[in-house]
Amino acid sequence: MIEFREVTKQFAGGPPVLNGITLAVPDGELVVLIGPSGSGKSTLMRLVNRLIEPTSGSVWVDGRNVADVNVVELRRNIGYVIQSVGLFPHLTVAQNVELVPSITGVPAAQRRRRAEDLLHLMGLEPAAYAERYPRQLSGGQQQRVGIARALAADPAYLLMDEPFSALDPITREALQEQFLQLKRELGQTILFVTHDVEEAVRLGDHICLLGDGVIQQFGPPDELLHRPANDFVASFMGDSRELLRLGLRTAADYMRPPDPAARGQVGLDWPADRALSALLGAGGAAMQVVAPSGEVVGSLRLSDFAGSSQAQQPAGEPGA
Amino acid sequence: MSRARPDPIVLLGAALGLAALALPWVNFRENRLVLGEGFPLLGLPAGWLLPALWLALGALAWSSWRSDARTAWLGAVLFAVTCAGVSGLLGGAASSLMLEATPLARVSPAGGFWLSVLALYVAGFGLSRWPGAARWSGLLGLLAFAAVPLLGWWQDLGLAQEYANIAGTFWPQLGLHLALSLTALLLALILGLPLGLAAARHERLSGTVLGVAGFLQTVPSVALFGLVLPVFSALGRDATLGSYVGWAGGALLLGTALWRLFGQKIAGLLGGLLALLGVQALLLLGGLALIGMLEGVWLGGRSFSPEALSLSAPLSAWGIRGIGAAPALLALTIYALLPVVTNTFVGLRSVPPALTDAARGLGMTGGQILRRAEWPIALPFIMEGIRAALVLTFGIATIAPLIGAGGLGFFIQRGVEGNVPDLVLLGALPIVLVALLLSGLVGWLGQRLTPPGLRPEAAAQGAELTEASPEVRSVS
Repeated sequence: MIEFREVTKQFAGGPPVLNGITLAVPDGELVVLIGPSGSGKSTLMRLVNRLIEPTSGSVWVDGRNVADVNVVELRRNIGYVIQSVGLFPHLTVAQNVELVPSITGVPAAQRRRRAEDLLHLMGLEPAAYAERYPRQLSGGQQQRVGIARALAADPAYLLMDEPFSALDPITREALQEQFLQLKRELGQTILFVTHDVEEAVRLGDHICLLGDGVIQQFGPPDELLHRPANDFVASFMGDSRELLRLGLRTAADYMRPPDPAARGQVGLDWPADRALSALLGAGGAAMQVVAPSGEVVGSLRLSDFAGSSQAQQPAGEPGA
Repeated sequence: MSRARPDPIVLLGAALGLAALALPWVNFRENRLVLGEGFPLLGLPAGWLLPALWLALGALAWSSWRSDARTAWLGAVLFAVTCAGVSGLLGGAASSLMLEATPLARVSPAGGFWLSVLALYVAGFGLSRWPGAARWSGLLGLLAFAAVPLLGWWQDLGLAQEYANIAGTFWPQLGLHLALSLTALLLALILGLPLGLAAARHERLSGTVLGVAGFLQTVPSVALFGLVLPVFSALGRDATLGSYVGWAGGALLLGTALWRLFGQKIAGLLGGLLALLGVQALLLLGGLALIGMLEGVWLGGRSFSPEALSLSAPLSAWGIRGIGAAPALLALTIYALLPVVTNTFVGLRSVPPALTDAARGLGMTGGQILRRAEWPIALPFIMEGIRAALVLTFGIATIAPLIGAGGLGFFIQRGVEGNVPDLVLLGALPIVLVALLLSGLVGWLGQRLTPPGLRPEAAAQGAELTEASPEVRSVS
């Protein structure tokens, strides 16, 4: 668990960037820090691995005040991924991933095996990529290496500072998808900074919206989208936030019993926005909902999306 | 790839080579004092050989055959023969002119020869871009050219006669010249690397450090010698070895203590500078002792007396006096400082800030980042600085004999004073050759020390590799 207790940060000669922030990141969760630029989201994250020290208040990781922990030990237990990746250009991909283990004295064979496993996990086949140099890789590939490097020491925590923001939309979406699966497998506690509402809704178990140095709202994505605490949150999450909510659900959440008059098919596990898009494309007629097995399990029409938003909470994990 | 076009560079070389024949090839003088008389090559025995070679080389460059390996071979061999021809015809011209002259007569290379050397350089450069064996034509030509004097066929040239006169001191002076500039380079590195590092780390410091190093570079070298002369003179006379070592060691200790106490704050940095200057002062003494010893061994100059080892010995016993190697070393060190500091600074600044941020965030200490990332990335830049500093000090060391330090400049100075152009050449040519050699050597070393991931070919290779983006692997 990462905890911020009454954290205030003020840089010399300016107003406080963070003003009395109290926040807890539960174990195994991914909490997204979001907010306009200058809202202090990166600053808040960098307090955790002490790249920045708070003006007042304290940060606790694993029940220990980080100010009392040796800074190098602290950082080695917290993976760190940044937007511009920061790979060592003169080292190969494998050497980059093995960087920290090689410093801490992990035997060469062991850390090599770990690096290859991680590269494989990140979709970079070691046989083809391990011996390449960073500038022989695309931006997306570099960030995969960056994530593999952060995971090399098997840290319990992961700090990610806009890791996908510099990538093109297609690469970004692919990496987000892969990252979600990875997160479920590895179970790290993750603090994730972004300025992209869609990304926050897609990835976050909880979202913490920062503005004017304070937490404007903290809650599950659905809550911020559907019940914004104030005008600031409403305006930041955007006018199409009800549409974004659809991404948190599947067709199963909206369907009604089968209708023999329905034409066309949508998948039971389709995200609701995709199902809605299919319905709009079909001109508003009812469509069949089909399970992966091919069996027709229900039907769906446009009116099912209206007025149902209060009734249904997302089924299972958000973004699933 | 079509290679049917003539090679304009080799053609230019051949044209220059032919044009050179219109100029006097050698200059003949009855003795050292009178003005000379120019002799064109074509009036000399076997002089027709060179235009024939140039025409052959030009014809080869004009033709379209050079796509195949055999033509490349032919070009390289023809070039090497031309090089040997230029070199040999110079020696031959001297020999034929000296047949009927007194031993006091001098034959020196003249404009035609020098232009031919330029033509050879141009043609060699052009040929080295041809495929296959021709790539080695530069080296081959150099060897062919050098073989002639090495085999003693320049013996009747004024240059060789002057060399025979000073053969006993030529190599020692060359050694001293090297020792002076290499010691100065070492001192500059010891002072310059930390200064460059400090400048790269502290924004406010960078202006001062680079400004001062740049300013020192602008002080005319002769003036600098003059300025430090009285200082060293007084120091050598009044200070003893013991007090000097005491002061330098004290500065080192005090500086280190300040550095430890205040870390990277201004007081700590000043302490670091003080410690550096202390090390510098001690090393200067060591360097002087080394140069003095070499001078004693090679030129039969002063050597160490047992008294020089006592702490109460005056510093002048160790070579610190107004004239001699000490002021020369100081001046050379100051000149070598700027390239070392700037290149260290630029090299360290070329490290992406994201890299440092990520490395720190992953739990690397400042020392680990410096050793594993900043140093290897900055090293090619630093090597380039060393190369510049080396060429610079080697060139400026030429004027060191003005203040009594040895070196090849000694011959140049004597040649200028005595109106002996051959003696000037004898000092100048080795300086140029050795400077080129050192520059090439350090340049090669710099390339070897560049990590593979930073070499240009790594990027070129990457361009095709990144096309094949991997499929996103699904984790089940």
